[in-house]
Amino acid sequence: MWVYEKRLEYPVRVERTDLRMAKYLFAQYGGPDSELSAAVRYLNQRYTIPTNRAKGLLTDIGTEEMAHWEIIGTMIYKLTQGAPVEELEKAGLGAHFVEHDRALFPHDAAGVPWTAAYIQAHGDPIADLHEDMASEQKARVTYEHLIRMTDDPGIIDTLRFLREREVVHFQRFGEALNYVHEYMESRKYY
Amino acid sequence: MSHRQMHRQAQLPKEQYDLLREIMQVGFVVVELQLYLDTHPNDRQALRLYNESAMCYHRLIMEYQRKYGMLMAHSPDGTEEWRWIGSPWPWEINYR
Repeated sequence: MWVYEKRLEYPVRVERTDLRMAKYLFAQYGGPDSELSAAVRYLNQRYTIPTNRAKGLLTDIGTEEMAHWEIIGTMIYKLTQGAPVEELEKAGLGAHFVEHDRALFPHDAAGVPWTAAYIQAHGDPIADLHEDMASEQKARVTYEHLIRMTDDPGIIDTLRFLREREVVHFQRFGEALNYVHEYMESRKYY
Repeated sequence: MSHRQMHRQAQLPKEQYDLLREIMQVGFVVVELQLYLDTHPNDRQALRLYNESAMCYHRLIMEYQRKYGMLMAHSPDGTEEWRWIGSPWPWEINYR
């Protein structure tokens, strides 16, 4: 089970309404390498991963990704609140308004809805952990692209925090992978 | 009700905000050490740091909840009112 804490993992300081940036941030709300993909990928893979280290890591990182999804949602909410329809349309969010008003929806920066086809689970710890490491790198570079698209110091600060978390998760998954190799050798699986 | 009226922007009093920031900071240390310990379960120094941080975290949470109401679901709330839904939601707080 999960227990909700009524706080963000990291603050979201927003200087002003910025619809252009909000549109880009949907990449990490409902895109292929989004925080949503990460959370569902890890929390779904953990059942069949063989080592307790990897089970713990997939559970704990998957949980942290849900907190990151909340941070991205908060950013988009704060950047769009109170925006008139004409401004939304000018920023390329007209189609979003037609289908969702100012509600959030898990789609990418171009409006393509989130799909489970973005993630995988092979039931093979080597394949799954490599996918997880790749996904952390893809999310890291997406954050770097996002940072280049804004000059809002508050947004940059939060995006840099999220980028750094991808680096740490990558490191931890690599350690879990090394241990899985040791474990499989000791079991003489191959 | 127009969409503008539905949006809330909450400015927390300084003392409450400072305590919330401290909780976020210590909470982060706990998360980071938890992930580290998942792949370094025999690192006793990290485990000691984890225990210290986690105890500090729970002390801060208890202090916050005594003063301002529930922060963590399923906590006791000793007052006469259900403050859980009254306090600002994380996306409504004006961070500074």
